[in-house]
Amino acid sequence: MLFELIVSALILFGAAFVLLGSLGLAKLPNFFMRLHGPTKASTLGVGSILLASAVFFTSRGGLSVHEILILVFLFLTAPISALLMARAGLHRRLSGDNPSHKEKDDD
Amino acid sequence: MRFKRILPQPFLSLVLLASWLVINNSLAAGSIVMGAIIGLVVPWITHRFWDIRARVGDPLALLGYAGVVVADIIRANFVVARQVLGPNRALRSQLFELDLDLRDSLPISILAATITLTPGTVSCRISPDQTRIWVHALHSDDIAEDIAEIKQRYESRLQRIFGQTAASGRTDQPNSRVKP
Repeated sequence: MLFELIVSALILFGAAFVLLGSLGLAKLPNFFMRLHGPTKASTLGVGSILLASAVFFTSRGGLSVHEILILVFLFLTAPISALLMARAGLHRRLSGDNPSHKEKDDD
Repeated sequence: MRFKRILPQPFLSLVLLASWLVINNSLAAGSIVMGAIIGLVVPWITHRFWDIRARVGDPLALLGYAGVVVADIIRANFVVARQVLGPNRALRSQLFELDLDLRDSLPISILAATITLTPGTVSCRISPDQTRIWVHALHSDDIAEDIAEIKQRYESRLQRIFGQTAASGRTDQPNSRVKP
């Protein structure tokens, strides 16, 4: 019972943050700002869903820790894909579609 | 030195062994043996590709750094969540340059990854001579303050971990290889 509560709370918490990450991707006005959604909000979201998985399978007997490794790899790779997309954005001299968000773009 | 030939990167070997045990969810003898074999063979195959001048001088400080970063990731998520939910008008996004005191590729990569994972900033580009990082902030009231925070919170810690001062290593060529 206690475990089920913890697992449900973690999954809901995680899902909320993944939703926020996607919302940021859809709502923010330009390319560079949209990068922030998936690199942050989703890392904590996926993190707590993975933690829920670890707690759930551990509570059913048998230690389950390989979720931690998924999290480590996610933290290693998310910044790299963000960096590559940001570099591509700088290279193409993307600024905001919204004139109120002028960006310094003197590469 | 014999020890260095067998274990060119003891830290990497340990990480590989630990990863193997975690993947398998087990501490069985078979897993440990297999993990040890991987820990021995992989660094031996890959050590020529590594820029191994950067050494972890203080493993405990590295753990402390990981703790700080995880705490900041959680904080960052709440900050960004609030910014995403708020009106776009309230956000002043900025692109700024950060002068690096770190010199080696590995600590710079760690710093760039940290910047991306923590509050409201994404690292966009590292200058080819590895002296500056371009950082995009989702919202910044004061660029100087953000730069000071990154430097003081992360860069100074990394400098301590990798045991280098601002001046040492300045003459090093980035990516130069150490002869095996």
